[in-house]
Formats: sequence, structure tokens, C-alpha cells
Amino acid sequence: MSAHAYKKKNPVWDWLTTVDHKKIGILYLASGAFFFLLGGLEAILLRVQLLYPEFDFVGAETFNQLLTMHGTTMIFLAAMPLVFGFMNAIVPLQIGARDVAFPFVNSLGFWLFSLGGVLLNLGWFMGGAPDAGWTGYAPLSTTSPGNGVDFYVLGLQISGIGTLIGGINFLVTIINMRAPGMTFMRMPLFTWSSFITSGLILFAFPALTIGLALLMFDRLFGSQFFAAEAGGNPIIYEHLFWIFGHPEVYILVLPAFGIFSEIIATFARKRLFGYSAMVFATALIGFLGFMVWVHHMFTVGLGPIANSIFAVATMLIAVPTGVKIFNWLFTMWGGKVSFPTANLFAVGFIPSFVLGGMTGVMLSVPPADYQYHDSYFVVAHFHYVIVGGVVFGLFAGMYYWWPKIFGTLLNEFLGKLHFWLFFIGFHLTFFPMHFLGLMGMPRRVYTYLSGQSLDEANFAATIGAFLMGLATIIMLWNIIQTSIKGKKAGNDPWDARTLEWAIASPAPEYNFAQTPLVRGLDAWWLEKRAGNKAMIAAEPLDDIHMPDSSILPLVLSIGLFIAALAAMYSNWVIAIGGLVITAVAMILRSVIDYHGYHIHKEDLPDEGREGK
Amino acid sequence: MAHHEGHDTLSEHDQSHLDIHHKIAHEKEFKQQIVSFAMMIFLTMIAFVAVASDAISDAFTVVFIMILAGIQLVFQLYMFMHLSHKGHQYPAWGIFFGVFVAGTCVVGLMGMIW
Repeated sequence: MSAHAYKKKNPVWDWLTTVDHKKIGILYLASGAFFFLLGGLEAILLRVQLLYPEFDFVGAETFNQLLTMHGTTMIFLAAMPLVFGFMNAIVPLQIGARDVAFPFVNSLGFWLFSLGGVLLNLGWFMGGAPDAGWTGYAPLSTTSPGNGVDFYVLGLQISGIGTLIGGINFLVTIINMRAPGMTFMRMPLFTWSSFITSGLILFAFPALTIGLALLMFDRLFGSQFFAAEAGGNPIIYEHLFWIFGHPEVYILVLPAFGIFSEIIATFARKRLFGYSAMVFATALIGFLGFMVWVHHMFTVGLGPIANSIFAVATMLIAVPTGVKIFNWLFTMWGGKVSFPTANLFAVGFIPSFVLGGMTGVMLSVPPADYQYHDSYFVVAHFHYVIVGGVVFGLFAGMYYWWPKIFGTLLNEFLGKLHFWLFFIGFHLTFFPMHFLGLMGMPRRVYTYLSGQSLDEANFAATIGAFLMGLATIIMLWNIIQTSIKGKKAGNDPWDARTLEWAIASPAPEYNFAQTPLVRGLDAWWLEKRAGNKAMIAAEPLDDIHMPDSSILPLVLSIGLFIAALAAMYSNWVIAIGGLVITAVAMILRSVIDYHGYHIHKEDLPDEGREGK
Repeated sequence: MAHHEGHDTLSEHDQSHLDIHHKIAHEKEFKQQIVSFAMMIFLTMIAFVAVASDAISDAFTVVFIMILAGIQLVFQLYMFMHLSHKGHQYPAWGIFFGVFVAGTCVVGLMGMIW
């Protein structure tokens, strides 16, 4: 099959069957953005409910569902896919690869994730969404009536499998697919953080899988792993959840750190200060991330020894994180700093995240944690970390890499408006929550009484949430405007440093006509300084082998989706039918030979040839 | 063995020497594999006997067959999955870090819950 025939495909079929990492990246970004809007809408409804004391806007039951779905959606269905979207869209370009190591698995990961996400949200239309909190603690989750929590358990299980295989794919890609000369210590920081994040996914997600599987047995098959009255132990679920849950925080924030490292260095027009210290700090955060899970459970009563060990381990994480903060500051120090929207988000991130980090250290002290636990202080802390860290990072990455992904530049005026409204709204919402928590307002409760000095801060928080909503609408408007009549971006609109900017925007489907030769850290910047217009090629121009696209990942995922949905209603015939679909798809994948196809070198455009 | 690879420019004479070395190394490894295969069957038999026998207490049996399982795992990884060969550093790192994480979790849970 020639490249020409490939391009004539039906576009819908093309998107459903694609194994191209750039298209899968866009699919991840689009579905992540959809779930981000959904989770944001849920957050605004929560804040409206808390606008006035004893306000009756959605009521207690819906509030619990909204609360659960806001947390679950934002973590698993918005932040995760957006991170994966950038990893897909950018990492292969940054390491000079033609695609990821396993393009088929990549597509399977996306479809499993997205159908799991859809399943999770079906609860809204089928008798009530999950309502046991995003952590799904037993016994609340095992005894929650209706099918709500079943949607949580099975939806997360399916999307978790997708995330796990995605992580494995990136580990293999980064180890095996780097261009000649791209040693580990020449990898851009975003690639490094994606690498470590993938490792964390590999080791953390199995704990979630086990926790959810046990929960599934308790709920669907009458086992009693977490039923204390039958000799089970609900604390085991808390442990399993947080053995996964704490690394998950780093899974989300490390790629954001990587994005900031790229952006801050690019717009300071200096190489990143302390590159090797940054790499080491990232690895250390990933390592320590596995040894702190009990700090979510200080008040469970595990005893002073357990609490002290995990408190010290938690405080330790502040050290590599501090190294990173100072390295970003020193990167800007003496640089020729400019402030397009991407860098505004990056610079705005630093004080916001430091606030979240400070409250994190406060929370790591067990005696103090007994006071803060389950209050709005904790809500303030983790929103400062996750919105101030992850969401700012994703926005920054969006403005920075939009030209590379879509070939157009987002409007800078609307972008800056988006930043300032979001930044102010964010602090207005979450800063007062510190004080609400210190004054004793418990989290997860649908209302509060008047006359307890909680009214003003709650009102302010809700106004802040509206501002963030407005900022998001402006961002959407910007995206729509840019999609219709965006300014064409060149290959390298920011005069940036890393390999992805050495090729056309958007990147051609084969990425690099010739694999580039990497001669140092910030490979593209080096070549530009040496007066070269393109990367030096590491191989002669030749036919390019491309992987075949396939519908099987979608079929396989739909089989699991059907099986999970039928199992919730104990309809075992259909459930087994779903599993059969999945099994048949797997067998087909094993027996059919995929030879791929070649793009002939005569068909490559002239400008695709490098090193001339 | 694998560390001979990478010499691209060899005379025919050297090449035939290398081939002989390869052959010897291969035969040695084959012998090792047969031995470890027999060992594994032997260990499995001991495990079965330990469980079936009344002479050994249950508590000891559990610990004993766990140790046997550990030995078998090492055989499996190093003899049959070639973990010791060059180019297997990443899988080795992955396996050992995974064992470390799982070990931390199990020890942590055992210490804190029961």
C-alpha cells in the first residue's frame, strides 16, 4: 500500500483505526479535554451548592455523586489522558523516533481508557453515579446501594488497564527508540519525566488493579475481603488504594514538571540550570513516592512508629522538589525571559505550587495532621498541588506545543486573558479553603450552618470557581477561533531547544525523513548555534516502514465494555459474549500477519529531507 | 557468548575461531540448562513430598516450600529467561524494583495490620 492510497481513507475510519502516535495523542487530548470540561462542570455545581449556608441547589445525594465524579473524572479521565496526550504527541519527536515501540498497543491503551471513562460516566444515566468518594473506601463502597459504585469499579478497572499498557509502551519506547547520539543524559526533561512517570505507572497501577478487583468480588460475587463483620479488613483497601494513589500524584505532576522545564528554559533562552540535578531529583521523587502512602492514613491508628516513618519519608520528598524549584528559578536568573502565555503559566506555577508544597509539609506532621485531616485544609492543599502543578502544566504545554501538534498558533491575547482569569480564580477559590479547614469545616459534606464564620470564605470560593469557568470558556473560544482561522506556525515558532522543533509543524506521519544525529543536550539548539538549518542525518534517505492501522483495539475494548456493563446487571450470557469478542480480537491479532507498508523515498517532499 | 558480538571486521580465520567459541559456550549453557531443569523437577518433587508428608509440621512446610519457590524463581529467571546475559539490564532493573516495591508493600502491610 502506498502513502498515496493511505491518505484517501475515510477520515472517521482513519481516526478509529489509527496507530500513529500523533493522532493517538490528539485523541487523548480531545477526550481528556472533554472529561476536563465535565469534571469542571461538576466542580461548579458543587461550588454553587456551597454558595450559601444550608443552600438547597442539588441536595445531599446528588452532591455526593458530583463530589465522587468530580474527583474521579479529574484524576483518571482528565489529567491522566492529557498527560498521555502530550507524552504521545511529543516524546517520540523529542527522542527522534518514527513512532512508539508498540503502535498497536498504544491504540489499545487509548481505546481501553476512553471506553472505561465512558462506562464510569454511564452511571449518571443508569440509576445514579458512584457516590463513595473518589477513593472508594470500603465499607462505604461495598455497601453503597444501587449500581453506582459498580460503574466506578469496572470503569476504572478498564481504563486502568489502558493506562498500564500505555506506561509500559513508553518505557520501551524511551529505552529502545532513541535516535543515535541521544544518550539518557541528553534526553529532554519532558522525556525524562515521562520515562519516570511510566515506571511509576508500571509499579503503582497493579495495586489499584488488585484493590478494584477485590472490591469487584465483594460487590458482585458476595466475597467479604473488606467486610469486618465477616473477618475481612477494610483497612487493606485503604492501603492498596494509597499504595497506588500516592505514586499517582507523582505520575501526574512529574510530566508537568517536565513541561515547565522545557518552557522555562526555552523562554529564558538559557539551557536548563542543573540538568543532571533535575534528572536525579525527578528519579528520587519517583522512588520516594512509593514510600509515603501511609501519610494519607495517619488518623487510621496504625501506631506512632508507622506514622513517624512515613512522616519522615514524606518530609524527605520536599528536598528533591525544592531542588527543582530552585533550578527553575536559576534557569530564569540572568536569562532573557519573555512571557508568552505558556511561560506565564510556567512562572505562575512556581509560587502556586510552592504554597501547595508548604501545606504538604505541614500535613506530613502526624500530630498536626490529626487537626487538618478531612477538613477543607486538605482540599486546599491538594488543589494547590494538582491545579497549581498539573493543570497549570497542562495549560502551559497546550500553549507551547499547540503549533507542533496542530500547526497553528493559539491567540496570545485570549491566552493571557485565560491565564489571568484562571490564576486569580484559582487562588480566590482555594486560598480561603485553608482557613475554612482551620476553622473546622469538614470536607465532603454538602452544606454548612450559618453563623460559624464560614459564609464569606465559601462565597468567595464559589466566585473564584466561576472565574475559572469563565477562563475555561475563553480557552475554548480561543481553540475554536484557532481551529477555524489560526495563524500558521512555522517549524520553530518559539526558537526552542529540543528535537521536536527541528521538523515541520504539524509533524509528517513518519516524523523524521531521516533519523537525526544528536550531538548533545538541547540537540536542535546546538545545531542552530552551529549555523545549521536542519539536524544532521544519521542515515541515508530510504523507504520508510510504517505500521498498519487496525480496528482490533477498538473491538477488543468494546468487548470488555459490554462484558463489564452486563456483569453489573448479572446478565452473564451477555457478559461472556463480551469477553468472547475480546478474546476473538486478541486471537485475530495473534494470527494475522501485519507487514506494514512503505512510504517510498521518491514520495517524500523535498523539505522533509534533512541534512542537505 | 554475546560479548563477542560487535567485532565487525574479522578475518575468516578469526571468525571460525569465534564460531568454535560460540559452540563451546552454547554447549556449556545447554548442559547448565539440562542440569537446572532436572534440579527444578527435583525441587518440585520435594515440595510435593513436604506437603503430603505428615512428618513435617504445617508451619514449617509453608516456609519451606516458599523458599523452594524462591530458588525456582531464580533458576527460571537466570537459566531460562537469560537474565544474566548482556542486554538484559533493563528487565533486571524492572524486576528488582518491582520486587522491592511489592516487598515494601507486603512488609508494610504485615507490620501495620496484623
